[in-house]
Amino acid sequence: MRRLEYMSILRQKLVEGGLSSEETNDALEFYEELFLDGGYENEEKTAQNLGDPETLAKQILAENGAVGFVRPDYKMDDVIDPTRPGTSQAQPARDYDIAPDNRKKALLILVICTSFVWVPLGIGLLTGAFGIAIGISAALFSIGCVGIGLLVSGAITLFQAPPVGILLIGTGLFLIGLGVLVFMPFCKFAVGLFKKFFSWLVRSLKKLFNNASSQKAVSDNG
Amino acid sequence: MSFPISAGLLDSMVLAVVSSEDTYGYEITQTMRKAVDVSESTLYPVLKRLQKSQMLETYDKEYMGRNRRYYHVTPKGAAQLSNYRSEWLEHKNKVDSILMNDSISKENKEIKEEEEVLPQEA
Repeated sequence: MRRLEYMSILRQKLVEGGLSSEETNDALEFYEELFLDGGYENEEKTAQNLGDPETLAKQILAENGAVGFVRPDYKMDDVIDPTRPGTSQAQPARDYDIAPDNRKKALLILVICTSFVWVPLGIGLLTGAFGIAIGISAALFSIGCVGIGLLVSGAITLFQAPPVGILLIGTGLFLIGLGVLVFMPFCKFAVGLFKKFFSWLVRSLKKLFNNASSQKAVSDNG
Repeated sequence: MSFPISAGLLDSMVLAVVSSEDTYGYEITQTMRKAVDVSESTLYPVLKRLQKSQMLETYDKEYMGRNRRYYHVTPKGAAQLSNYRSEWLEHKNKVDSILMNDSISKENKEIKEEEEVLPQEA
């Protein structure tokens, strides 16, 4: 394939791929220069070195963040050595894979885009759970308070009507015991659950953002 | 032989090529291909990346009635290159110490030298 044919296919594929005109022209100028500097008589060879124009277009599109990001794995397989015939002919195998960091980026974007649904939902569920926990602990606490009240009134009644006083004191002690036995572990359990949930939330958010930012840093530093 | 060339290594090699003299795309690709098998299509993104991170800047110069884009290393690029170089030296020495059996061969040399010295004294 000669330069004009190669360049027109490349241009067509880049435009079809939706690359911005600035990026398209930049890439086309670069490859045009390679053809011209390679020499008129070597155009076929230059085209061969560059490979299939459609593949090249796909690669350029991928590097500009277009669909189907692919990153070739460069290998030193094939050091060009003129003293050893055949070394430059063998084409190194290239492994193509969807970069995992892009998947993470996509996940982050998805999470952010759907935040208007899950943020209020999450807050609602959280406050609901919090309310229930407060309600249960308040009920248990009030049982304990009633127990204390009964104990006090029982102590007073004991002097006026001893059997009723004993009954009241007994019931009071029973309720205090019940309240303490159930209230304390429940509080511990609920607090522990909330703590766990928040640390999980913070950790997973951190992870998500770290991944995205470290990926950015890597691509910036090269 | 199959040692992968990392993006960082490609970046540093291209920086080194341009740092010795302002040069253009074709010459960069030809120089790089003398050492490693990289296609032109691999080098274009490297040059773009270096431009975006302000390690390289470009200017156009007329040549045979057309424009040729020349690349020039910025001060930031030069600083990065010297970082790359010291990193590479460190890396190379570490790998060599194991791969080339450097420490072992040095010990062997010393032993041999001692052996050579002894008969002479006798």
